Amino acid sequence: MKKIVSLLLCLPMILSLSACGGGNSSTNSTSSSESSAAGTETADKDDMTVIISAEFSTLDPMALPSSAEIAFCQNIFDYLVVADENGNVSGSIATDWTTDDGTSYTFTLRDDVYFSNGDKLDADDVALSVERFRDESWMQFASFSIDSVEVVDENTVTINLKYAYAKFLNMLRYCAIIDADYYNSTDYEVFARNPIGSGPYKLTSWTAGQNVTLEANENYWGEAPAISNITVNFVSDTNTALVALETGEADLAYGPALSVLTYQQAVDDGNLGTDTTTGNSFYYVNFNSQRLSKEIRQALSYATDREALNTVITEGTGTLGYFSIKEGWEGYTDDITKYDYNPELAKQMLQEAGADNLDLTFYYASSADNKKLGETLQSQWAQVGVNLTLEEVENGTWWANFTDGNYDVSRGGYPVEVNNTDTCYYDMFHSEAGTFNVSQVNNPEIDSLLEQARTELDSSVRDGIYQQINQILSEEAYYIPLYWLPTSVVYNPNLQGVKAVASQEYHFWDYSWN
Amino acid sequence: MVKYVIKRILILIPIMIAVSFIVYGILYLTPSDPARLMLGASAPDSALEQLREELGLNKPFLVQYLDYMKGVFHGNFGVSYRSQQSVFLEIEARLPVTLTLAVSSIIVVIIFGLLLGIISAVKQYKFIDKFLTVFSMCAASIPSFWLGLMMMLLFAQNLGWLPSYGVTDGWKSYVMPVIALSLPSLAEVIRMTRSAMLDTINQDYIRTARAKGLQESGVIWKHALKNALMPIITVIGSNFGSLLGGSVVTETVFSLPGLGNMVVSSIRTKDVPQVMAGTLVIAAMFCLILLVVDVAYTFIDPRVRTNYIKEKKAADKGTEVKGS
Repeated sequence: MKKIVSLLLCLPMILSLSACGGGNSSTNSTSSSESSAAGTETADKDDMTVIISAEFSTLDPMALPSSAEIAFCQNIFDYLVVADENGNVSGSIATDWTTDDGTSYTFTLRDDVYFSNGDKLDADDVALSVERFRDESWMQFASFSIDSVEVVDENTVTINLKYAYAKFLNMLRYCAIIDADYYNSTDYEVFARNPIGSGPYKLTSWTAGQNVTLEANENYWGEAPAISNITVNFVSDTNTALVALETGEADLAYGPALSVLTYQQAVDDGNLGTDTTTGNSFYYVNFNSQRLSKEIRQALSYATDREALNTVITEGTGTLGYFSIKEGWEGYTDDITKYDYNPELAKQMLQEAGADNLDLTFYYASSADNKKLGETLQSQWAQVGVNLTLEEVENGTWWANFTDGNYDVSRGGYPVEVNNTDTCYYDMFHSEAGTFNVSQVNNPEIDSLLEQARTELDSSVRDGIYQQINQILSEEAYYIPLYWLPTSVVYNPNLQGVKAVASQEYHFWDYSWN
Repeated sequence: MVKYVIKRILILIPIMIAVSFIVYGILYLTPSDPARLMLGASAPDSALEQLREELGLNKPFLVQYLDYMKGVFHGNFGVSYRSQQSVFLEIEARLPVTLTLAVSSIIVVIIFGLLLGIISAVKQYKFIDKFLTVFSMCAASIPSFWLGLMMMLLFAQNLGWLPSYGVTDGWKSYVMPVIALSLPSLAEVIRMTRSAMLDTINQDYIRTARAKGLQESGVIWKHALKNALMPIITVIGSNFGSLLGGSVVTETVFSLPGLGNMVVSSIRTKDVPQVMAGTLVIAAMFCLILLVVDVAYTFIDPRVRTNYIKEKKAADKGTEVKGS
């Protein structure tokens, strides 16, 4: 009897071993028809629960480390100017501005703006905000062109630049206007946890580790938002976020709160609102141009099948591109060197360069996507005789070495500004001032073109310059351009006005209940 | 006894200093740059340098460490690099959650672990024992994140009985996390109880107790269990310690704002003061638990008690005997 029982017990063990490797379909859609994802009476609902993936580290608008905080602050603060999803700038607190030669701008301010604590917003507040914007290390990525600011009168402010920076207004949209009296009279720790702005919402509480709550700002100068009470919860696990959306515990989740898989599941389940669009992050395979010569870089570009990479890594959800510029932005052109997949040509070029048995290392930060990229490149390049070793390290380590140029081949990416080719190209390709010049580009022609474009005020001339830069970049093959990743949003279907935003700047005041 | 406890508490100080040196050293040696990680890819070099100066990152290791320790001895554990707020802000918010989780889990583990372990030992080789053995093996092998997600799907999504994340729902928020957390420890305690009890039950004095005519329940509870309790308490103590610091996975799955989560994300962003504060708090709690376990020994086993209290008296007795 015992023998039979033990034999029977062996069977399931053997079966389970053979059926192993079923993937992580652990949250496969079970019938969730019982749990209503949305209540039927939402017309009178006045609150909304949002999920984001990580807690804010601070809400001082001049010390914002990530796009999540920047986007959130847009619901609480006002700015001199704002930009739409195509990068077109329009006035917000500033009704009008004038400039002579682009080195100095004079702004006229609205007269009816009040902070949520009742203080009136005037030129002193703007001046302090711009000074902090210029001085704080966090904001220098946007304020680098600002030299000084002057108060002309209560409703007029002049900002002086170091040089005529064409995209100054685009970057000015990051300068939130803070209440000078509040800033000067409060301890910094309190100020950073209790932001006071003049925007459509005010912060009512911040429970560490859990959530923040917002309430409509009754002193807001614009139209009152349709939804008055918002709770933003921090949920780091994307599966948990999806479950919360399905049970109705949350109404909105976007950006990194959702992974490609969970988004796909939400689409398949069919009872939640979903939307996706091309995001603002463009990815490359970067070559270290100081270690790899131009011929080798070009050969490797021919040896890479970019479409296959897109299919394997993003499952086709990525949008292939040749540079980090979208159609309609300055510098977009079709007239560049393209390296269509041609392994024979690649092999030939490598032989001519005397590098038929090249040994390279693909250096990357641990992540499933990077690993897939490395493995695919490994197999593609093996066909042309290149031996690519994979070296995986932790994120912080990778970043330190990547930016210092201690690598052969790696995967880089850049979150671009909408319709501002200057910042991203300057950062990536200027030999001295480039903050993220990971390919170690040291090309005097590119440097002078970048400097020219930075101070050129005529858009069509800039367009021409950037196209020229793109031609040089593609000819030199400093990198293999990959794709844009999508960004998505999943929401309660009774919520109106929700659509995916490329910059992930979701404005809660646009939404209303059905 | 009191002297012993005080001595143990004082030893905490050199232990904490050693822990802080090791952790600070390891953090210093890791190659990432907090300024870079905080400011992102587009920050100009001047901004990076400015931030590094502000954070004191350019000073040599020992200077940074001694500055930190100087602050600690004045009660100032520094501010988090990321939030520029006191490190205790996060810890204050998260400690209650972690404590609630850990204490609830350990209570479940103690009650069910002891009970089931005793049953298992008493009914050795019967069906209930085999069932509990298999159950322990499953409980020890099931990954807690999988279990957490499965429970979430069943209880939160399908049945709607329990909330899927957060701690905002009172006791209901803790039900699933406590189950997920306690299972591995439960398995260990059941097995340890079972084997300790079996060792004790086979002793002669148990045979004597039964021969004396004592009721079986008295034999088990008063005699066998008390003698078996030493290794069990050790296991419970060490499990409690790990529950305090190591429940990162469960905290992530259920989005609970706990200490484990905080330490891990601070390490990723190389937020040194936050990591130090979190690690020191966890280390201190662990040491205190071990102290409690050691004191508990003295209550369970009188022989141990003599080592601590009667030191002087035993020594006196020794000299007395020798001298006379």
